[in-house]
Amino acid sequence: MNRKQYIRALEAGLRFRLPAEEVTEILEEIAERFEDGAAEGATEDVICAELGSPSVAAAEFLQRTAVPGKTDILRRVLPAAISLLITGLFVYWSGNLRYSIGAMRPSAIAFLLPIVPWLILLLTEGKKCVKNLRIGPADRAMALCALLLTGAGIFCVGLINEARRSPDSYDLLYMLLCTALMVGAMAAWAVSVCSHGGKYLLLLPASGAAAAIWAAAESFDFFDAYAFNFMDGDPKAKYYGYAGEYLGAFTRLIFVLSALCLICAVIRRDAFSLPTLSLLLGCCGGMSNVFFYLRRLDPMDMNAPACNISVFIPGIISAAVWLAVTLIIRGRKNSVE
Amino acid sequence: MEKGQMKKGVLEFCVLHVVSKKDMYGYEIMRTVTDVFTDINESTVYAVLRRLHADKYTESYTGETSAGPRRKYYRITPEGKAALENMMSEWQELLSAVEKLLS
Repeated sequence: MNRKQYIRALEAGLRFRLPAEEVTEILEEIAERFEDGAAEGATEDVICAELGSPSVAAAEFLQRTAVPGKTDILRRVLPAAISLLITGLFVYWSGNLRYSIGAMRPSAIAFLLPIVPWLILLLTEGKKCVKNLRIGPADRAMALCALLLTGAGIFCVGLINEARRSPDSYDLLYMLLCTALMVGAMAAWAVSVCSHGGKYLLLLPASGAAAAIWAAAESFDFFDAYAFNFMDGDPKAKYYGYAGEYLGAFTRLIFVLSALCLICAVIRRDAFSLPTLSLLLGCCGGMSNVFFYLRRLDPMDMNAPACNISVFIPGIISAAVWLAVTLIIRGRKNSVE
Repeated sequence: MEKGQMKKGVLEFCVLHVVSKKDMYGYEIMRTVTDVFTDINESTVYAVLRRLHADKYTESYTGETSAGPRRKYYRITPEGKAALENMMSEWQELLSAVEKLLS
């Protein structure tokens, strides 16, 4: 193995598990080691042998640079629970812009609610988030792309659903405001994710893509809206309705599956973590909407209690499953140690 | 007990002690330690050095080496000196307790 291969392998072992700046410092130090060794006449493969295998070296750095101390469960669970709720609400309401746009209903104020828990989250973990937020230019570009993708998805959802409710006039400014608020919530989530050593940064574009899938699911309502507004009396209108309903449900299932895949990827690294909980409720938000469609509830009937409660039932079940999985995994880790 | 586990436990103490003697750069520190602990991976020493730095027991600055290239030098901090004293007294207690048991 030569110097380049060693450093590349070491970087692969450390990347996304430590802050980017710290990884850079470690690699610079190792590069200096190679230079000093070469100055004494040692060959690169000898130096590699003396350093030890890259995977062992990475494990040493990870073990010794991890933050020590006990896990304050309550301090970690509370922000995680809040982010769990907000992600689910975000998924749910991104699809339900249609219920409040154009009407001065009290439920319209609900779009502001997502910001409040995120502010609490930033207050409880904000200092650490800002201090640990070290991401490189490539990571920033990825994060920005994901946010733009999510924002575009949310805006399209609102636009299409609003076209259904009020095809002749709709409040673009209000929709832009809702979009901005939700993207702001996503950005706050991204800050908390990035501050945890950046190791979950890859989840950000993946989650953005999942949100876009969700937006696509909602956009299939366009078929239904089109039939409702422009195909009055046409016998083919019902097929448009079916297309909207079933394509929408199918795409929601894809969202659920993609969210589950992300959850599995995260659980393998750390089950008891903020992003895991966020993704879990993103998944349950999708499940709840599938449940909603399966029950064939009238989407226009906001007084139907099940319409509003249904989002929380899968959430409670998912949280219970998450808790059980976490306890089992942590129990196994403790028994191994 | 896993082989080398005992050595790993005292490595932080040894590295901090080496740094307390005089300011050194990473390669110098690593060489000093591995010349004595011949079966320790060099990456372990670097990892210990980073941990001590993160705990603010050492601080770093860039300086010239005798060979020419500029390197990151480490020196012990007041917190590091206090920690070293604690480690030293712990070590003395451990040493005398083990000697008593073995005699």
